[in-house]
Amino acid sequence: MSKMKTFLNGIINENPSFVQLLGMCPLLAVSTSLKNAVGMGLTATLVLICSNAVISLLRKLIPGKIRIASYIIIIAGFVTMIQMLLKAYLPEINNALGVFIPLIVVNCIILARAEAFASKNGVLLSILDGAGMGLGFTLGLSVLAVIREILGAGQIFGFNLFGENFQGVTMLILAPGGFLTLGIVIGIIQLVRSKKKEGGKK
Amino acid sequence: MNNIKEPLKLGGILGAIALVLALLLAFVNNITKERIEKVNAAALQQGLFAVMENADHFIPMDGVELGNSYGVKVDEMYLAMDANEDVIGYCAVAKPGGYAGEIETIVGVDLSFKITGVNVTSNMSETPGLGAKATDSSKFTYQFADRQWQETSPFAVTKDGGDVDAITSATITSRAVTNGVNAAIEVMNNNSIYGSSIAEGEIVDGKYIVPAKEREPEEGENAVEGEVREDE
Amino acid sequence: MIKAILLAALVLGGMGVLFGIILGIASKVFHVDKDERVGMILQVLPCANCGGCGYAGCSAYAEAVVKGTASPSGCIVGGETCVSKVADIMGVQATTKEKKVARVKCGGNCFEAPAKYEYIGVQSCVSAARIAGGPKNCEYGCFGLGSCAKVCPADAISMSNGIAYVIESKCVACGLCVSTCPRRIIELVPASKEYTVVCNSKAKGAKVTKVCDVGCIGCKMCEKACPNGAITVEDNRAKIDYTKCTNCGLCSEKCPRKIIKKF
Repeated sequence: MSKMKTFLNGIINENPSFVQLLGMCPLLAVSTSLKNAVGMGLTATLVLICSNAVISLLRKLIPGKIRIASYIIIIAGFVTMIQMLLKAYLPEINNALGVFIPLIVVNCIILARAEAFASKNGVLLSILDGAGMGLGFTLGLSVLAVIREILGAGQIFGFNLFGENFQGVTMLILAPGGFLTLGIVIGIIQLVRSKKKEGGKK
Repeated sequence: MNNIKEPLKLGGILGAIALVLALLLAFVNNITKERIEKVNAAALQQGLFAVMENADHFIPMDGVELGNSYGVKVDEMYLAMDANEDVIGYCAVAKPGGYAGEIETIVGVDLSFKITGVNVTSNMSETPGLGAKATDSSKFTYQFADRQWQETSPFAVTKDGGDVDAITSATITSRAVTNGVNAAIEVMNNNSIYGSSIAEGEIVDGKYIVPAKEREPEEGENAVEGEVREDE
Repeated sequence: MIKAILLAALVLGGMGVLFGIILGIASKVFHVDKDERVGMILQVLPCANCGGCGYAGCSAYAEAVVKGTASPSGCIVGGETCVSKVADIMGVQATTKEKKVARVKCGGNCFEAPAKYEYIGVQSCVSAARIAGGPKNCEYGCFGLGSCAKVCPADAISMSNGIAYVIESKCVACGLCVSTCPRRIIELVPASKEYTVVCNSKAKGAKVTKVCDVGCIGCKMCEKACPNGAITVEDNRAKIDYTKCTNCGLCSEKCPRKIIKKF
């Protein structure tokens, strides 16, 4: 696959959040505000790029039996390093994302790309794939966050849009709202995709 | 031989990967450690000044009895000092358990135990838009300012019969912060010093050493004899 | 500082070595004898998991080949190159299956074969076929709701004037459409044979004329015309035996309703 195609694949065709349905846990939990969403998305993207690169570099050296253990060590290592850097240079983001930063270690997206792509492709392509998937994840997070923050709290990036006393649809900020919003967004996307497919066929 | 060789080979490779990563982690830890400490210290100072605007500087206290009847974790206590090295009040950092983990709450009181301020720092994971509003003093913590704490009637949210207005749809967070305030003040009450000035020798390494409580002589024990024994 | 680094390296490195050894031992203790040829075959197969070979996916087919219950030429989608590679891995000579292609055996489009009722519902042939015998007057015909097209992995089926037709250049003969069609209208025929009877109806001739202008009435003119006895009328419809058909086209000339078409 060409380099551009690999990169764009993760953003549109195989978007991890809306098409592959991976990484649902942080997707639902962190999409309550746009600031958190972008913070999480970019952090995860960084981890993806680093882990994909290293795993791709080592792919010929890691025996199959310790594959998963090696990948997890590498991913956990990078997440810890990035968390330390966040604590030192961006403490606000660290506080906002809280427990979800360590949870990036077990984010399905990262392990899935390591298994499905980085272990079978070269370093440059793996980096592009990591970047694409990470940005796709960020896109997914942001789309949900925009909906939930505006309708649920009347804010965007912490700024009140409708005045101080606006009481939004609080449910949207809580867990049920997350599931509903996600379901509706995926439904719309599938509708558009199937119409496209039908149109193409006829 | 192969049976032993393969596990050893696997162990070797996995160990090597782990080793390299451990070294990398130690390296990054080293270069960020100082900065992280600075960041944390600065955040703490900012929080302390937010609750006691009139203070000039704060002295941490060593040997404080942190237990309290509210079961809330209280981490530290500070003496609030003015520019003349007089004590003008106390501050304590409580970490009550909220909806999603600990909520760092800084409470400041003056010498008569009137609250000078309550500050919920952003070092917490409460729900944005709901419990997270506690960090905005205009939304919640302003209610505590200038109030007098009484041991017999601690603060409580309206749901629990008190007069503190909880944040809408964030009762758990509100309750936690209120409990934290109660706990912090109780700890400060239990460890308050006598008067407003501190003697020279009581500050060691920038920390104020809380004097050990005097031991009450037990029944039948001769106080004088006890002293002689210690000399031996 | 050095102490901290050493400690970290020791702890993490030590755990790595320990777990690596444990995994190594575990893989020996829990070893399952899997023929390595399965993996090799899987790499050669197209891995579309279309099920055209009749097995539940490519890995199932690969295991069956190694076991000996499936022939190396079972994957039609893979084509000649795939078959020969599989045969190589198994160390046998492979006979390539002849390229087949799917054909829709119904020509009764909306002009020739009117509908019984207007169907508004789930756009699936399987569902519609269950309601009052299907939306078409002819009980054996295609009503074009496209279940076959939806299931085709190669996008080779299209709808025209209310019935389905196969774009032969795209067809990979996986057979999914054949099993999906609730009326068994689609048949897999050898691609080299050019003539197919485009009617599926088992109804008697008189009934057929009432419901369709291009239905087979079982007049047997084709049967008489064929020099090789390849076409016979069974169940009131003409059927071609492709092992005997020589592509002479005489049946098509003689058919009074012109329903034996050249593809």
